[in-house]
Formats: sequence, C-alpha cells, structure tokens
Amino acid sequence: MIPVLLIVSAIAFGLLYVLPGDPAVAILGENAGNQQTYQALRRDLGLDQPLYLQYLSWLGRVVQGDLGKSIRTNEAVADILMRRVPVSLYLGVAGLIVGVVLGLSVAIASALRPGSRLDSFGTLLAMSGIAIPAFWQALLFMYLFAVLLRWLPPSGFTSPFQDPLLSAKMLIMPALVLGTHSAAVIMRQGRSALLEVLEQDYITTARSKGVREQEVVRRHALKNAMIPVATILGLQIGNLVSGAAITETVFAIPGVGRAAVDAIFFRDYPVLQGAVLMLTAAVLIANLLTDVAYAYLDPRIHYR
Amino acid sequence: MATAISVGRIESYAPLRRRRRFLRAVLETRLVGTGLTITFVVLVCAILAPLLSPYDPNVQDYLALAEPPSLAHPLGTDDLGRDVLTRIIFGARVSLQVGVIAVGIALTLGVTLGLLAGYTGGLLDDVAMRFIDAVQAFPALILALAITAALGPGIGNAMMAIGFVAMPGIARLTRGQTLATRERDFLLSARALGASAPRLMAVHLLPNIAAPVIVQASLLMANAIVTEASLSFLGVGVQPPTASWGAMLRTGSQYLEVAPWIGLPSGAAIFLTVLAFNFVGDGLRRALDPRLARRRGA
Amino acid sequence: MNVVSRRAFLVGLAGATGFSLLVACQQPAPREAAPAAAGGPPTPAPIQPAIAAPTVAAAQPAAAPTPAAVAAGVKRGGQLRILQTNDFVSMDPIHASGPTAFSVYDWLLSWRPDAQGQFGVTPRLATSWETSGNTITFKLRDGVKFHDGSDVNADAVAWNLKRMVQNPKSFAKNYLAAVDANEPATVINPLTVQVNLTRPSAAVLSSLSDANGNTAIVSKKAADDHGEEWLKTTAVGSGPYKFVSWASGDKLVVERNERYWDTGTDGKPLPYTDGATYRVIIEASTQFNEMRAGTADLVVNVRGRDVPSAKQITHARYIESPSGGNKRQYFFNALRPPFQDNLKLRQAIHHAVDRDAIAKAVGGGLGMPLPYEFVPGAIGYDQSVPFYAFDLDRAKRLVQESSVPLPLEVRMTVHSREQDVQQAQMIQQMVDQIGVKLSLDVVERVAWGEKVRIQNDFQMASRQSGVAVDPTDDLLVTWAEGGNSAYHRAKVPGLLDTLHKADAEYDAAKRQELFVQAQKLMYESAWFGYIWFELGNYLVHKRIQNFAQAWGSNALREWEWWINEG
Repeated sequence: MIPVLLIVSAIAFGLLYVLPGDPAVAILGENAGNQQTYQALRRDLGLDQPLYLQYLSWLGRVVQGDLGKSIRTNEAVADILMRRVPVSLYLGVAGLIVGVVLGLSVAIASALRPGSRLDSFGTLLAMSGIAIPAFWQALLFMYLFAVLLRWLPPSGFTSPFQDPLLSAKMLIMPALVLGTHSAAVIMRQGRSALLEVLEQDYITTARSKGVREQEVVRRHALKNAMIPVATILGLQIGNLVSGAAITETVFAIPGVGRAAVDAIFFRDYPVLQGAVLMLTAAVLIANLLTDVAYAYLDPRIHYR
Repeated sequence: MATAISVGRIESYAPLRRRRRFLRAVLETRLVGTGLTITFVVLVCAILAPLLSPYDPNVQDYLALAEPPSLAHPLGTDDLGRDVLTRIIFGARVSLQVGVIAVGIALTLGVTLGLLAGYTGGLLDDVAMRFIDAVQAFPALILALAITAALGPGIGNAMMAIGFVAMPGIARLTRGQTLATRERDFLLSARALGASAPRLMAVHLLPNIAAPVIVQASLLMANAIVTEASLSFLGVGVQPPTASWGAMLRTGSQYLEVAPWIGLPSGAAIFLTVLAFNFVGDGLRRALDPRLARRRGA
Repeated sequence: MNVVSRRAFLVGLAGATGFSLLVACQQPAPREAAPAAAGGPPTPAPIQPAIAAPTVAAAQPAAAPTPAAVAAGVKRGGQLRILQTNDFVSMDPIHASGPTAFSVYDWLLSWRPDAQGQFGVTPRLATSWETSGNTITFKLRDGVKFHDGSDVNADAVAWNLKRMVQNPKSFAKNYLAAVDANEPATVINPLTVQVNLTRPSAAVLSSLSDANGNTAIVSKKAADDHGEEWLKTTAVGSGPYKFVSWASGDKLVVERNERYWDTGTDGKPLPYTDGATYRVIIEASTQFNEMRAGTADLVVNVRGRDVPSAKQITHARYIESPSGGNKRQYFFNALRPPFQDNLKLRQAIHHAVDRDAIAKAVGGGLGMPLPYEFVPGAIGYDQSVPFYAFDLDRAKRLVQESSVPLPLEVRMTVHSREQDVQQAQMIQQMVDQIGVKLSLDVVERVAWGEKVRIQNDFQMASRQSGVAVDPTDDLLVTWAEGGNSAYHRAKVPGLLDTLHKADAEYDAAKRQELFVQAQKLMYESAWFGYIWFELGNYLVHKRIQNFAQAWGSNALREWEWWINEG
C-alpha cells in the first residue's frame, strides 16, 4: 500500500506543476501583473526550488504527520480533511447502498428470467445509470424533486447528528445520482455471475431434490455469484469516491472530491495532495476489504 | 451436438457454422440488436454529417437565439442561434473521435505495458504493477481533469487524458491473459522452435488476449463519451465552437428550464450511444467467452 | 419578442438614472475654509466628498426610541441565509481577493446612496474628516470596541492603514496608491488619526469606504495575541456581527454583536437579526433553485435567462443593481504582433463587433451594449466620448488599410466563464466577415492568469470587470501604463498625466472633463474593446424587510434588515 501511495502523491505533485501557472498566480489574481510581487511570493512559497526538492520537503513533513496548510486559505489541511472526509464517506456509503440494492434486485430479477422482456427492461433501466453524465442527472433530479414536486431541499449538507430528517432528505438525490452509476455495474456483473451459477450442476441437483426456488437462489446461487460481485464492489467504491466531485458541486456538498477539484483550479498543492491521499487510501482500503470478503465468500462453505 | 468430423463435405461447413453461431450469440438478446442499430446510425451520422445536416454547425443566427423546435429548426436553436439538429449530427463525429482515440491510447499503453509485465515477469512486472495500481487508485476524474488542464485546451488533450486514465484496466487484463497463456503448450513449443519474444507476443499472445480486450474497449468507448461530458462541465476539454455532445449538454444544463431543447437532444444522444456500446460489448463478450461458447454446443 | 422590449426598457431606465446622476454630479461640491498649512506651498481647496461631511450632531446614533418607532414594525430575531457564488479566500480583508466576512467588520467610511440615489461617502467608524493638502484627518467615533474587547482607536486604525499599504501581498494598496507608503498614518490623539498622502487624491476616501472590501478595520490586539497569519482564518472586527466559524468552500457563520455602536429605530443596538449564514454555492442553477424553494434569503446576480422566472417567484422580490453588474471587454497585446503597432487593425476589429447582438445573446434581459469604459450613472460616463460603432463596411476598409495578409490568424485567450465563452464565439463569427480567422483558447482562471498576466503570451484576450467606485484608481490600475492589471501593456501618451490630474481635482465638473479627455485618448489608441454591460441584481426573500440598494455585493447592509415571517 505504501509504494502505491507514494507513486500517487508523486503523480499528483508532478501534475500540479505541469499545470500552467502556479499558486502564486492563483493567489495574486489581479495583482499578478506585478513582477516583483509575483517573484517575491514565489520565493515565499518555495516555488523557485527544483521540483524534486519541493516534493521531498513536502514528503518529509507528511511522514512527521504535518499535512501542511492550504495555500489558498491558510487553513490546516488536516482540519479541512477532517471536516470533509466524513461528509464524503456518508455520501459514498449511501450511494453504495443504493447501488447494491438497485443493482442486485435487478440482477436477480433478470437472471431468473433471462431473455424475457423483464430482463431486457431491467437491464435497460439499470444500465441507464452509466449512460447519463452525473451533472445532467443531478440537475434533472433537482428540477424534478426540488422545483416541480418540492419534496426535497435542492442542495446542501446537514450532519445526521444535527438534524437527522433534514440530513436524510438532503442525502436522497445525491445518493441516487451516485448509486445509479454503481447500480449499473453491479447489475451487469451480478446478472452474468448469477446466470453462470444457475447453470451449474449443483443447482440442478438442488432443484431436482425439490428445494424451493427461493431457497435455491438464496442459499446456493447468490452466495457463489457474490464473489465476482464483491470484486466489483471494491472498484465501485473507487468510482464513487472519485466521481463524487461533480455531484458535490451541483448539490453544494462540502466533500473531498470537490476540495480536490478546487485545489487543482487554485494550484493549492497541499490540499490536493491531502485530498488525493485520502481518496486513494479509501480505494486501497476498500480493495483490501474486498479481498477479505472474497476469502470469506470463497466456496469452502459450498460443494466445491 | 455435431462436431467437425473429418469428412470432406461437413468439414467445409464448420467455419460457416462457427460464424453463424457467433452471430447468434452476439444477437442473443434484443438489446444487442438495438445496440447495433444505434451504433450504425451514429456511424452514419459521423461519416456523412455534412450531407445529412440542414445547416453549418457553427453558423450563429442572432435573429433566432434559443428558439424552440420549429419547421426551420426541427430541434430548435441553441444559445447562439445554431441549429441543434446539425450540431447533434456533427457531434457524433466528435464523440466517436473522442471514443476511438481515447480507447486507442488506452489500448496502446495498456496492452504494451500488460504484455511486457506479464511476459517478462520479475522486477519489471513488480514495478509496472505498482505503477498501474497507483494510476488505478488515483481518483479517476481528478486525474483526467488535471491532465486535461495541464495539457491545455483542445479535444486531443481531453482524449489523451481519458485514455491514460483507462489504461490500467486494459493493462491488468492483458497481463492476466498473458500470464495465463504464457505456459500453454503452443507457446512453449513456439519458443522451443526459436521464436523471438516480440514475435511470440505479437503472433501468439495477442490473438489470445484480443477477445476480452475488445470487449473492454467497447465499454471504454462508452465511458469516454460520458467522461468528455463531465470534463466539459468542469470547464476543460473540447474547445468552442466544436460541437461535442458533452459541451452541448453542459450548455444545455445551464438552460434546462428556459430552453430544454438545447440539452435534451445531446443528453439523449449520449444516453443512446453509451447504452448501445454497452450492449454491443456485452453481446461480444457473450459470443467470445470460450466457456459460454462451449456450453452453447460445440 | 419580449427580450427586445425588456432591453429597451432597461436602457431607458439606465439612461434616465444616468442622466439624473449626471445632473447631480455636475453640481459643485460645497466648500469649506481650509486650515492653512504653516509655511507650505499654497494648499488647493480641500477635498470634499460627493456628500458633504455631516456635522457632529448628525453623526451620533439615531435618536432615543419612541413608541411610534417600535410600532413601525421592526422585529428582532431570526437567522439570515445568504448565498454566494465565490468562495471566501481569506478572513483577513487585505488578503481577500474575493468576498470576506464583510458583516464582521467596520470601515472608516460607508458608501451609501443619498435620497437622490447618488452614492457617496458617509460616516461609519469616522464621524467626520477634514482634508488639507496632502493629509486627511479622521475623527473616530468614541466608545467603539472590537469583538475581543480592545478599543477602536487611532492606534488601531493607524496600524490597519500601515498594513494595508505596506504588506506586499495586500490587495488594498492598489486602491490606496496616493497614500504615503513610508508613513501612511499618524496618530494625533486617541480618537484622531491623520492619513498622509503623496499627492492630493479624491479617490482615497471612497477606497476607505465599505465599497472596497480590502480596507476593513481589523483588531490590532488580535494580531498581537495570535499573529497575523491567524487573522486569515478568523475575523475579528468591530462590525455588527461576530465571527462564529468558517469552513472554506462551505459556509461562514456569524452571530449578532450585542454591543454594536449603531442603533436601530427601536433604540436598541443593531443588528435586528440574531445571526447570518453565508453559504457558498458555485452552481448557478442550484442557487436559483434554493431561492425558489424558499430556503435562501438573498441571491446576487441571477442570470439574465432566469430573470423572467425570478420575477414569478411569489415569495421573493427582484431588484436591479446597476453597481453590481459586470462590464465585459476584450483587449489586445501591445507588445506582440499582430496588434502591436497596427492601429487600423485594432480599429477594424472594434468596428466588426456587433455589441447589440452580443448583449442580447449573452446577457438576455440583463445585457446592455456598452461601447464606453464607464457605465451610465457612474462618474466618468459621458455620451460625448467617441466610441466604435458596429460598421462592417468601415471594418473591412480598415482591415485593408492595415495591410495585414488576409486571412489573418489570431488567437484569442478566453476565460472559461460561460459569458466569456459565448461572446468569444460570437466575436469569432463577426470578425470572420472581415477576413480575420479567430481561434479560441478557452482556459481556466489560473491558466489565463499565467498566459496573460505573467507571460504576456497572448494576442487578444477577454476580461470582465466590476463597476469601480472611483474611476481614477481603477484606470490607473487596469489601463494606464505601469498598472498592475494593465495586461495590454500599452503606453498611451498623456493618459497617465490626465488621470493623475483627475485624481487631484476636487471639483466634480472639472473631474468629469478630465475623464472625458482620458477616454478620448483611450478611444484613439483602440487597445480596449468595450462590448457590453451585464446588469447586476438581487433576489430577496419577501420576509426580509428594509433591504436597501447597496454597491454590488460588498456593502450589503444585513444588519439593518429585519425578518418578518408574516
């Protein structure tokens, strides 16, 4: 895990410096035309040092636990992340739940009647999630639920500890946007895995033994089909976490994704590095958990 | 089921039957059929755009700003008075370009890396895998955004970014297939006969890994089109006045209530095309998957 | 079509406002005998603000409460919910290149409209001021305290002025160019502070008013106790609200300052409301939807296309704000071909641009074509100033006379803002008709800054600018040679002189003449293309009472609003 994080942080650092302009241009704004001020600020921020030195000094501070300060606002990066990570987690988990529920239910329904109209319709519906760009889906939902129907607040985030009802209401649309995207992938994987499993001999045996269809599906088929699905889930968390930036923008949710995007546009490298590290760590941990789940689900428990 | 028996007459039918079985597998569901149709329509639009369009896609008509659909403009006009239908047709060109080039880059980088890593093994494999892991773990949209912004304005740069971000999946797949195929008999015998590594890779390995990679590529194409729209929303990517569906959707999303005809057609175009590519990809996967093929009756 | 009549109405309204403001501007400012400087050169007549300094009596807080005033319907309590598009960058005003915690601070002066709608400086922390030669002496209000308990006295104010002008990263110093950088302020006595200038300047007063977000007065004690860096994330001022918390990219929360010096019509200290939350929402559609859902009290600058819908909202009021708008322009690079040394080419492009069409297409109902630097109603606006009109034939002729090889390839560096991108595409089509092939480089903010501001690597670029409070400092910074934001880097002989003269001139009529002269020089040099003006506006929830026109979104007077849910 460490080497991957190192490479990721190096990529992020490199990218930020390949981007035209630098934090000094970003901060100075209208004043950037003054060469003296600009050069003085560059020196201040250590930007006149060679790139690898800057990276190493940042790295040196990080291993001592100092994530630095935002160049834009002077806030401690650790504070910013502590504020935003729980929000992104909350949103991500909600999205994942929506995705799993939607994706699996359609997968099961489709796999049990392959080739039928239900199957086609279900597949079409579930796949729509990846065929609609997130911002378009978000704005459409907002128009429908917040403006026309007035069922939900248009945007924002409230902590569930402060106001559970409002928090839940504010979560619905963004979770739907995120969830429908993963639902598509989960459904596709789940359906094909389930189809394959359902053709196995042991299923036919179970059926011929007189076990009820529901039992067959639940006890024998699903567990085995979950293995490839579990693999997918790990990847999905990655997508949820990194793809949330657009959802966070439209729904004005202060999450890590949006912080990363803002940091790119402002060349705020401490914040970008911090955010990218968090997001990457989340993905790596998710993968780890998936591997664990894989081992658990592995058919020691079943006929093989 | 009938297998190819070495009797002259029947043997000559075997390839035909295989091809027919293949086609039948691909067309197994009605969705794939629809998918193919849509893909065909998109291709036609892309190739024959100037012939099919009533107007020039970039000509602005200041007397017809954001007009609703009418006889003169079947899908209305956009915020600068350009015909929406024309821009949708030309947009097919741009979207396909984005898809093809992004996938091309992903394939080139990914297959090369995967082959090398899988075949060579050892330290090279380790380093390559770490690098692939890192690029895959890096938040995808953020990476695409940063690369596009770094390379500067232009659709080519957006495509390179999208391709690079998609590379790890292909690389992993290729490497996996390479590892699996590396020790197979036909390969060992080719090596024993003195075939060089590049020749082995190109002639023997590649065809075996082609199937899953092609499936993945079709899915990637679909993904590229959506990512282009997302990048447009974030403010980078295709340069105006190029008519890409993503840019049109971005503009349309800002005129959602006032002039929905600007966004809805491009949204629908993206929707249909992405679904089409996905269904075709699924169909291909079903057809090319050796296990399923076997079960179907070889 | 609706759009046409709306635009005509707007132009008419702006013209009427402009005309009346112009008339008001022409009246000579009242004069007062100046204290003679001992042994110095003859002092010019004292600078008078557009609104004369009030007498001491008027500077006192409003009179004691009467039952009638209370019965006037003032209600206390409630929380304000304000939305904004741009995130706060810093809680420290001198570092704020965007919004800051305005309502947590006080300024020396206020920028308020009078009964006729004309904006001018009025007392705030300073109850009166006197100008004489190269100094302005402010008398401070007695008994005002910062939120941390320390006094707002001459020491604190002098320290503030010092950092405004001497801190190398201060944004305030752009607009305090006439202040002596070595000795910006002198403490005369605890309630009197003298600002020292290097030359007489009429602009300094407006720069020290709350229309300029960077010149707020910060607690010196807070900087002494916690260091100046701390001020960037925590706001300690003497304003009507106290800082509670700030989460960047999310929101700023403030609560009432129980001991504010100004009182309401009910005799109790302002503000009427208990607190306010400023939420950052970048996406314009989301902001508008929040307003429609009734979950926000104020949104600034609704887009032109949303205005008809905005007017339909039953629980909100739509108010136009001429000072809150944005001027949209483009400019050429004087240091690179093809526009360097080619006046006729520049003029050709100006004549090829159809400003009406752009204003209509991009601004919707809020767009007004504007071929001048100044907007109607602002100081300096004058219809006698020459301008480039849309004239395609003339443009074609000029481009021939400019002897450039046609078709000419030009790159335009465009900011990725929606309006900039739209208008750039229109300009592209327009200049195509005279043989100029414009290709657009749409880049995001910092990339634009790098190319245009730092590298000077552009041929033609677009820009947006707010309505300046005082034209001299603005033009000195953004236009005349040596200005920090004069990216076109052109030397126009005589312009700098004229602007300095205008700054030193106190008579409003003479100033106007000088501005007209300056604009003529600018017009003749043809470096800037003035296209259109996007009117600003406010969308205010009907529960908010006593909302008054302010200067843009800086000088909102949230503490004078009260909430009436009924």
